[in-house]
Amino acid sequence: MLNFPAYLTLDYIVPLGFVIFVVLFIVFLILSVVFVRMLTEASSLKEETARMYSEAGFIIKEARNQAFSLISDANKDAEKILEDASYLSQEVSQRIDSHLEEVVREGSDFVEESTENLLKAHRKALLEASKGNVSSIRKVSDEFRNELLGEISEFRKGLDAISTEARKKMEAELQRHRLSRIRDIDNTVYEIVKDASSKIIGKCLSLQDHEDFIIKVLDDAKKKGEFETL
Amino acid sequence: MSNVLDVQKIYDKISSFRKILYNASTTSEELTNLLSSPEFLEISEYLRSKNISQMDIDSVEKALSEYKEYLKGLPVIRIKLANEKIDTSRIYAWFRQHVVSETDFSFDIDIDESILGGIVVYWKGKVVDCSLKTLLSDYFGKEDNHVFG
Repeated sequence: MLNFPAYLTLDYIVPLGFVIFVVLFIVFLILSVVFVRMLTEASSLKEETARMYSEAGFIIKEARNQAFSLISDANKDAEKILEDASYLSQEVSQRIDSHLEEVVREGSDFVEESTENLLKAHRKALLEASKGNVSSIRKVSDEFRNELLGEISEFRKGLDAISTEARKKMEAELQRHRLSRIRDIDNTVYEIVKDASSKIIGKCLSLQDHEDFIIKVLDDAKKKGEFETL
Repeated sequence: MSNVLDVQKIYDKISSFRKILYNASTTSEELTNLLSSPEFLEISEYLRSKNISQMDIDSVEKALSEYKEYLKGLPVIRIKLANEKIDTSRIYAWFRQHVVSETDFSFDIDIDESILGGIVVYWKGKVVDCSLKTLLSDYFGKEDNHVFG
């Protein structure tokens, strides 16, 4: 047991002061360490927030680029089809323009909607960051990334569907137009050949030649069995 | 009978021959000359096949009626040609050789310039269209033969 004197003397004050000093020093050291760690954490949080901010910005930029790239690809496809179909009728061209406008409108809507969603998500991430909750930031970041990827995937599917449908319609139009033109050309050629045949047989072919032709076509018809049933 | 080329023409010839036959001014020599001409070849052949003298007008008249009945009873092959000057005897010979060899038959011939050339045959409810017009049309109707296919 310690025996303290009834009043303080220098013999006691000096060691006691020393002890108190040591205790206070230790407390100071602990507080310093805690403070340094807090400062470090605060710095880390700031860096994380900056990184998240940068990442979000990059993702938004990438999303925009991808969206515009998809629209650009669709436009290129459409331009190629239009190039192939240089002889399309005015009506068909108008239909294609309509399809293109639809594709561009869909793309613009997507970009606008995606940007809005991204801004919302980004705002949410910054809010979480301001609360110092790093794990929440990561969660929001992952959700944000997944949502963005999902939207891009959906958009790509939608765009592909529109592009495929438009391409099919345009190809069908092209085929119809092609057949129609071939028919017109054939009819014209047929009329020319018919007139030429008429003139040749009427003026150049002798009756003998004409009779030979009749016998030949009768022989051909017989070979095909057309007279077997008679 | 060897050839019955165009039954309608023969009907017309019989009518013409009858008019000449009953014309009082026609002499027997003129009648002989007429029957010798290519125009009345079918009639003279028929009378000869029946051993009928041209001098026996009643027998000739009777033979002409029989000839018409005979023609009516023949199978008829209707054909369409583009030119009336075509010699149908070659076509008749072809049908005789390849299609109808066991009995006589007649042609009912239409002239239609729109078929351009060749022949269209109608017989027993069937049509064999070998006209140049149809051949051209068929040629251009095929997918492989499109000019810009």
